[in-house]
Amino acid sequence: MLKSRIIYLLGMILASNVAFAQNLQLYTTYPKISVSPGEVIDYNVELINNSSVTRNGRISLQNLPKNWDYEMKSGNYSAEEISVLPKERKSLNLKVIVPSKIEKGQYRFQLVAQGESSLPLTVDVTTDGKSSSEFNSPQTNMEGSAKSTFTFNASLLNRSSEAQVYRLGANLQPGWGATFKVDGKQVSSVNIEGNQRKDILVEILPPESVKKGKYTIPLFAQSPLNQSDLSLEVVITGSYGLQLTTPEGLLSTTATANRDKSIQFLVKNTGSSDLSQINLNASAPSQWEAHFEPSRISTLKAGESQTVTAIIKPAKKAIAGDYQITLDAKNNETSDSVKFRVTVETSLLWGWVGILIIAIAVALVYFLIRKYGRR
Amino acid sequence: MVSKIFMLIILKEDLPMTLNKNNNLYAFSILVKKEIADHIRSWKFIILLAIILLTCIASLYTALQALKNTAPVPNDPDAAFFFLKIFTTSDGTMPSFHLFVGFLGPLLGICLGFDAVNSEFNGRMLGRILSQPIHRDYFLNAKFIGALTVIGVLFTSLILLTIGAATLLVGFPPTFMECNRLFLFTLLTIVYVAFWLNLSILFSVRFRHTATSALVAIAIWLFFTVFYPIIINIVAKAVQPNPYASDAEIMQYQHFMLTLMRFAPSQLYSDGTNMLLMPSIRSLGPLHMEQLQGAIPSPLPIWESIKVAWSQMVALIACTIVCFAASYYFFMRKEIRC
Repeated sequence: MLKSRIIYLLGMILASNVAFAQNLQLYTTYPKISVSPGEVIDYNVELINNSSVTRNGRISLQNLPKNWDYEMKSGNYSAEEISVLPKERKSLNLKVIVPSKIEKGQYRFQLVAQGESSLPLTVDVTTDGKSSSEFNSPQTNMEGSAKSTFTFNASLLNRSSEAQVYRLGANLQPGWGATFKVDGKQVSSVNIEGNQRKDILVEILPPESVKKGKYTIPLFAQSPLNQSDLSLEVVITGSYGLQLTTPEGLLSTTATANRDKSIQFLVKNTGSSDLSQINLNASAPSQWEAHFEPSRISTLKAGESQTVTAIIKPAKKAIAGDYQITLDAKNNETSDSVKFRVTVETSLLWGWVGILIIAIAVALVYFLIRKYGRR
Repeated sequence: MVSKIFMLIILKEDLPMTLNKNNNLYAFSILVKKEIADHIRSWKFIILLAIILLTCIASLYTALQALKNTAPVPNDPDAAFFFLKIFTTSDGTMPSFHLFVGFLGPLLGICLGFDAVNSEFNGRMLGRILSQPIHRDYFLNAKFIGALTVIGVLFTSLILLTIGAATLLVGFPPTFMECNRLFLFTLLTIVYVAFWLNLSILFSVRFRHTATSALVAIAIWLFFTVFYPIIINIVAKAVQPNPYASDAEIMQYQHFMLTLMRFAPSQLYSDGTNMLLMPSIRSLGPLHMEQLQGAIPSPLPIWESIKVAWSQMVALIACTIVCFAASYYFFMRKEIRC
């Protein structure tokens, strides 16, 4: 009761032009407000009966500017005439729809209880539409590997009454890429009519060497008048990549039959996650011996590489020429295999024996010349 | 014989001079020059030369035509060696160059050597030449070197002519690799013909009659070209293993047959030329499947090709030298006064 009295007193002070002796009185808390174009103003209005008899009030909105619209509700009904019991009050809900195409300035209108009282209302329209765009996305979080492209659906709403050109951009860390697509075309800016919405496809491309983790991608849409931001979140699960190669990249060698040949190999972790238990394996033709030393790498951190030695021994009976062996590095997540060409050379032993035979034959001729030729 | 007498006159002019080393060499070079001149003017050589030139040029021409008109086989590892292919390709109408040389080369060698010593001996020229103040072995050496020079010039010019004609025809020169291989092929051909030359010189030293030495040399040539393959076939039938025999037995049999075949000089020559002219050949003997596992068909480096056929080449070179040594030995111990 005390509360209602205080409200009643306050109402009397604020609504200065409300006659004290009036039997029906209109009251609202905020008779003067600032809004943007296109907004809907929600007034809570009280209709107070000061008299000791039940009174009917015809409520109407007068002097409403052109193109403006309103809706009045009491309870669940759209009501024009409200009856209030003596010393009672009734709540009204008044919705004033501010048109979107409107000049900046102050607009005045009155809520009138016919013949009883009038409540002047002032709406200050800050028409230039500052802070009147909205950049948002229904789904701002995505998860994927470092090699995937993250595609977000975003929409940009121009709340102002005029068409605006928005520059689209992202504050990215080095290596990241962001592209904006509107209607299937890649764009860097977008033109939006007043009070229109455009769907923008945002593609985020993480760098391949990106580490596992959560990344925030700040996007912005900037018009000459305002800027709206959108934060997207990308969760990288990490990628697995393994490469087996030689330090020079040369994938061939020469080897002598039945003799060991060691070749340096490089195992590279090209992914963004650490790899563990990498098994190194060589498959060579039968009778060949081929293995790695060490044959297993326990852990290899992302982006790092380790040198291993492959020891290849061609078969004793291998014929001269090119052979192909397959070397592979494998762990549970990923693998790489490389085809390695080995040019087999045959041993020189028989070559020397042949030269020896020829030398003996030449020596024989020399001996004969010495013995018989120069007598 | 006129030339021989002419030579003697020149030598007689030299007589008053002291016989130092230079003069010795000079005398030797005159002997060689006369020998070459004799060969070039002799009818038997001209006729044989004509046969060899005609057949070889015909086979090279057909090879060039065949190569020009057929598209290269895809994945042919020898495709890069066009100039080598000229000497091994044939369109079926003529045997290829290296087969012709393998067949007619011995005849050329025999023709140049079968009457080297005994004809001079029978013509009473040997004693007169050797009565000059020259070393006795100069006579035999000059016979050998003169004939070898003729053979060398003949085959070198034949191969160079072919390369030149092919270059004109296709418009690109042979690569360094091909030149190396062709150079070695020329050397091998000369060594092969020199073997038959030495063999026939040996017979001309041993046999008094030119007809005998010629017939013996040709008999050996005929034996190796006609009868030896027949004998090998008979042996092969006899020792052929059961078709259900183990791999090892079959391998052993094939090795044995190859070894038998390699007693023929022509087989040694054809092994050597095959390795030199077909860089993709990796082995001359039978191979196990496991030796071929993982092998990539690719041309061998020249050094490896030589190593594969090295024993055959050594055998050919050593036989040539041994034949020369034998004829030298017999010539030096020969009684030349008669």
